[in-house]
Amino acid sequence: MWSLLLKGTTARSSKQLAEDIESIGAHIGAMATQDYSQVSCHSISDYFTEALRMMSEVLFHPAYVPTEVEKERAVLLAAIQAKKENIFTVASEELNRHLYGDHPYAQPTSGTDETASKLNPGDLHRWHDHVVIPKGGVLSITTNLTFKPLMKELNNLFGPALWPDTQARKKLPSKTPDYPKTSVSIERKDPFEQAFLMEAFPAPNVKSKDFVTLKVLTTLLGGGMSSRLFQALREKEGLAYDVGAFFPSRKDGSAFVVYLGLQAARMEQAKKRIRELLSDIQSEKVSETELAQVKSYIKGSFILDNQTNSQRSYYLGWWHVLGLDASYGQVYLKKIGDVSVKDIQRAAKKYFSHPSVTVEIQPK
Amino acid sequence: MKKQTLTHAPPPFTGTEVYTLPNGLTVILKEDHTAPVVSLHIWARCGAIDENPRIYGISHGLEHMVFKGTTTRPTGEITRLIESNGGLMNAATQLETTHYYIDIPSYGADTAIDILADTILNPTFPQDELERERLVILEEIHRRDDSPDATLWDEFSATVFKNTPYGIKVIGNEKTVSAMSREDLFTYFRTHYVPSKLNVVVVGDINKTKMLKRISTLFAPLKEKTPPPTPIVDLSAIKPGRVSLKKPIQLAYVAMGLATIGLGHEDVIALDMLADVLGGGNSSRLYQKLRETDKSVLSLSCDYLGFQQKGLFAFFAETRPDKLETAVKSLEVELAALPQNPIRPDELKRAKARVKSDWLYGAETPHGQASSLGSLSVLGQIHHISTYLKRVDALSVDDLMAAYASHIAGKKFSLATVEPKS
Repeated sequence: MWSLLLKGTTARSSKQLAEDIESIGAHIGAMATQDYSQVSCHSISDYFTEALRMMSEVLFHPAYVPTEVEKERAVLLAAIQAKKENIFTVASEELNRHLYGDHPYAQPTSGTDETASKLNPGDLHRWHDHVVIPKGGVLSITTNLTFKPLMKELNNLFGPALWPDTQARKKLPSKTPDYPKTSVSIERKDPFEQAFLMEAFPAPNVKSKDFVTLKVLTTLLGGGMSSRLFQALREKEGLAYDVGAFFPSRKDGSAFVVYLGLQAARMEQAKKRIRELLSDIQSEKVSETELAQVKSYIKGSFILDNQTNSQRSYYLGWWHVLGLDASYGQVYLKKIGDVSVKDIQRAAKKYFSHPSVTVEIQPK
Repeated sequence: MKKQTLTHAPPPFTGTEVYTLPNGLTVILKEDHTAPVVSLHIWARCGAIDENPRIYGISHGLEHMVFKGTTTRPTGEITRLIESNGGLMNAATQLETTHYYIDIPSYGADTAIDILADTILNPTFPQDELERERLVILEEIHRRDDSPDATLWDEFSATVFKNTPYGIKVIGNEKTVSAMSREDLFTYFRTHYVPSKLNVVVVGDINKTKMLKRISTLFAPLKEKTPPPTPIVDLSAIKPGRVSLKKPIQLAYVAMGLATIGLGHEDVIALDMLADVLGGGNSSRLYQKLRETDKSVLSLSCDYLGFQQKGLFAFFAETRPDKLETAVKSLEVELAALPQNPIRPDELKRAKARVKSDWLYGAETPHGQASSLGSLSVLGQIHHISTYLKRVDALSVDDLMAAYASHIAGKKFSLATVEPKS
């Protein structure tokens, strides 16, 4: 319900706020993820200060008007229902439930029918007071405007005066997820045309010494069209249209996840092939050439992913909020360059030997 | 070689150069050194409308097969070369166009243009690769069938443009994809991938003189050949229709709209802005009315989608199933009441601000610029790059109401819904 920040402030109704934002061609967004909540804003330079004023208002002075809360609660409940229409979402939420145990990562960011239906303005005000605190927060801006005159405005809009009584509040505790001690395999039937397979192994958080190595390993296995999974499962065997692997950057702990959508009749073939690919990378060293290609791909993707002011601003804040330095992007690239063939094999042996969680969806 | 410079185009398009090579190929180049990135595109003026029922889906099938190898680059080599240079490549097929692109750090731009040229000049469409890719496309069809939005679009366009080339399903169907042969691919490719139907667009951190020389040399062997005429989209026999599909889903999805003018029509900008005023943002008229006040929809948008010959003016919404009829009725009532409750100047002002800033955000990257240039140029509409913002600025409330009167008022809308099985 973080998006309710955009449904009116103490100074502007929901409609007025939407009109004022759009009258200057600006975009203000609000979203919550597993590790952080974010308010973002972009506009053309001429209106940037005005857009920032509205962003500050949205962040510090949401109204949580009961009628708006009621309306957005109904929208949220419908959205929770609609998640059943997306096979990837169904698989990943099932996976998270079994992988992360009692850690909050096991819960969907949307909440559930039960929790969402009880949300009220009081809850939202309390949660807002709890999370909108300066410690651990970050304001990142990328602009072609001169910063010196902008700083005075930023101080007024986001400075200490706006945080009068928040220093004493505690940050939420973090802890490592309690991953399963033995492998878990879930089979379920859902009303889709496709079948779907998702398998996850516990993986470290962003501060782990293995974080960067596992990023390279993930890209090598499932990060692009020349990755091993894509080549083997789609290009050589025509098993799937969607196939890949991902390793989210998380504060408390993460997972290496392989996924593919396929015909139900080819499920066993896919599972066998994935096992072989994971086994191969544990037992055989990758070549220096393949590793170099993967590193080049990561470096290129990083450049392509940092082209706009919005993207650059996002990444500066993102690294910081995950507990790293805002300039970690450059450190990350340097560390990618340092990953060796030995590192890859060691990480594969270590992480693909852990108990895994597998979710298999069959058409109903 | 003919050359045209888009001198009067607004930033960042100012100075874009458009060349016609001696063989008829159009080349569009724009230097942008903001980031060390280059976006290289090939746009082909062919898509689903150029297909006949036996080969439905072949434009899309070709899109899957083009990167599968050339006479000098075996299967897998192209993706390996692009990704090892830090690039990403992809392609998309639509009704009238097929689009291939590579986004890459500037050090890989020469390799990327060499590969794009090679794929257009020397593709091999290996038989074994076709057999594997056929399975992938069939899986893509299944995946699409699981998406309510995709299903809605297919049902809606087939209804609005019934029995015309715009009503064809771009991805094809299981029967035609299963029967698609290597010979079909070559025949279609040789017929449509000719210089006069191709645009090469390169935007980004390049030296345009050197890039032009390289492109001229690489594509020179492509021989001009007269392509068959583009099928005429005749809407005169079309009657608005209604279609409803039941699926095992939770929400109801609705599309309501009508076939209308194409990109070349003088009213196109006014109609585009009318769509934005009605459903282009969170402050737009119908979003406020249906979502915020009546609570009959969960989301709503209104779009004008322009094609070369015709266009589509349509509303798309998600609703709870029990609100579906109310939502449709509200849309009809609000549209019919527009003359009594005309567009207000403040609504138009906001829509102009939205459209203008979205235009600038869209052109922030070389990829965004190349997409706009290529998609308009390949359909013969590149003049919009220079004139669009000026024409948006010049629009009045009267212009929007006149466009409504000419193209919307009194016309029946087609309706498509995808609803939960009870």
